[in-house]
Amino acid sequence: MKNLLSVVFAALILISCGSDQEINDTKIFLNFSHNVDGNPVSMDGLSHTNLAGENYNVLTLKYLISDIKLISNEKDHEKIIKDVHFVDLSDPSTMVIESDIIENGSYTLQFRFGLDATTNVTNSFVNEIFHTSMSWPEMMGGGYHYMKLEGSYTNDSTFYNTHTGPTMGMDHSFLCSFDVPININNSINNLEYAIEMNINNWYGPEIVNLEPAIMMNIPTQMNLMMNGMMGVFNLQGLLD
Amino acid sequence: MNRGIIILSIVLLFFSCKKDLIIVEGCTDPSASNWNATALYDDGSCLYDTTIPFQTTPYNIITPFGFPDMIIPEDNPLTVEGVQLGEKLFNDPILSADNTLSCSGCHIKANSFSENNQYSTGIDNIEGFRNASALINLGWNTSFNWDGSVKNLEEQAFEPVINPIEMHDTWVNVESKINSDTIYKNLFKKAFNIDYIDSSYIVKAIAQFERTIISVDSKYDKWMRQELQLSSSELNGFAIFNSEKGDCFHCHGTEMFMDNDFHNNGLDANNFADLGLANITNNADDIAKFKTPTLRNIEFTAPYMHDGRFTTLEEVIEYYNSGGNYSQTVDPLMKKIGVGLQLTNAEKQDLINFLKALSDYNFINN
Ligand code: HEC
Ligand code: HEC
Repeated sequence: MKNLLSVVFAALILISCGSDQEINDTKIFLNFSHNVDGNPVSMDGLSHTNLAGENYNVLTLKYLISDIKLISNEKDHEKIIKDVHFVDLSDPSTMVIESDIIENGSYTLQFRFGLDATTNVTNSFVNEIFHTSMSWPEMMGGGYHYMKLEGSYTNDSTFYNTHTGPTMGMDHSFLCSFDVPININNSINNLEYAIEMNINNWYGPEIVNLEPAIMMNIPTQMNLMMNGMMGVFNLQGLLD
Repeated sequence: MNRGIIILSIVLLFFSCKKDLIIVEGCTDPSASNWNATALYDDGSCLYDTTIPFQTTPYNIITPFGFPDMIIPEDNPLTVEGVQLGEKLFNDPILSADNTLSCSGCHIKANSFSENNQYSTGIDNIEGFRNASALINLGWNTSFNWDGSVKNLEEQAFEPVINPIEMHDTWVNVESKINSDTIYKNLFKKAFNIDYIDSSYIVKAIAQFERTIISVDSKYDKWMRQELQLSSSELNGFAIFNSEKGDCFHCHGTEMFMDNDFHNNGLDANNFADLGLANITNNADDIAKFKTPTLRNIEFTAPYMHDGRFTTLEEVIEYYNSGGNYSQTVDPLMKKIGVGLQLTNAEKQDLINFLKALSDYNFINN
């Protein structure tokens, strides 16, 4: 009896070891988080201050990122995680992306902020939840906003609308990739990362002022793109 | 079944012996297998040949340009039979307690299925507190009523029937009226293959009909299809609407001219008579937020806003031009509060002319 038990046990261990080696079930979870210079995002008062010295709060934050992928550091191999993802600060269900199972390797995460010119076409995402809230009129270039960042500044009843997108068809989207190596091997299960946006970094180092209307303002759109590229996003590994 | 046949043959035998009597009772339903053309009164003996499989004709929706796929619940696909039945129900006062008021009594086609009164009056002569919504392109809406109290059309249709300030009936009563109507019995059999009609099928049929109320043939649509040119005034209005000058598109955007969302567009600074979305969510952040209505056919749906406070489009444009009022929940898209849009009189007229280019006369007249 004892012998039989140990044989069964040994077999079980063998089987479970075997399956571990063959089937890697590692996924990565990308969690979106937002802050203003390390402080929580505030909807009340005007507790945030940008580089230009303007005080503001944040009432709306919606944005699109696209072509989210892991690029393998060893071989020329890519793993697409998601084509387009919509983040809405008021909708917790938009704050995480779960990948499929990813094969072993060392990777770098990359995504595009907004949609590139070939993808950003009017009515090309009619069945996505962001179609109505993010669409950008044909008259101003067509397609979708990349970001709608809105709130009060100066006083409660004065609103800014930092809306970025394809002004007159110009491609103001940009790539973000992160130095943090993502290593996937058999010994780990799921990996959690935080994609952090520091909202205040949209407004500097190139000075961008809070204004009600910038959709047709090309210099401001260019400055927002530059600030975005220089470090609005940060990738942080999370321990689970 | 067998017993029915036996009884029937006995009855028939009995009657056939007495040749001098005229047969008055029998099955009067022409769709039954034992239909008796000479019977004057139905004696409940109808037999239906169940070997003929139940079959409906699919009703196909053609998705209009720039619209998403229509939202159709899996358990209520559109059929020609269901839609026709729904239209009959929509127009039938049988759904109200005193058989005087139909859905179409408050939702009038000439007004894009809304009505010109500020508030609607129910069968008990009690006035409501909201303006009747226009019912077009509802199959693309994700919530219904000004405060979004219901999430699908089937659920919505339950409510006016029993609402004390609308049709003030009970579903038990409606079911009994509909079930004792042989025409409805037959139509429900054909649409849903049911012998007893319960309320869930009544609302299914109505919802099917509502999904077919589609209006996308305005002057604007013809312009988009390059069939005609808009006037320079309408074009200028289009430009104000779709730029940050008027900034209407941020809420009334896309080919649907609505965003399936709720906003406080600044109508009141305080003393909200109607809390809107907050009634449903109990969240103070939602006070005075209302469903964005489509602006298609807006010319036909006066008066305007959830409480019908504006009688003309001129008043609406004058309101938006003023910039609106600040309150805690006003949308940051209302970014000209205290400043106003500063449109010239000509520009205001252009905007109105563009809104009128959204009128679908073919829809109203057919
Ligand atoms: C007494 C007048 C009256 C009658 C009768 C009536 N309605 Fe309405 N209907 C209204 C009013 C007023 C509203 C707006 C209600 C609200 O927002 O609270 C409305 C709203 C609606 C809406 C929501 C539309 C939207 O865009 O959100 C639908 C759908 C609707 N009605 C369908 C029906 C149907 C179906 C019937 C018949 C079963 C019916 N109504 C009977 C007055 C009426
Ligand atoms: C912040 C979002 C928002 C913006 C911007 C906006 N609207 Fe509205 N609009 C709404 C909402 C929400 C309602 C319904 C409000 C209510 O009834 O309380 C509405 C109602 C209307 C109505 C009445 C519709 C009806 O069926 O009663 C008209 C007309 C209208 N808007 C036109 C415009 C025009 C023209 C512009 C641009 C000058 C504009 N709107 C800008 C959100 C907006």
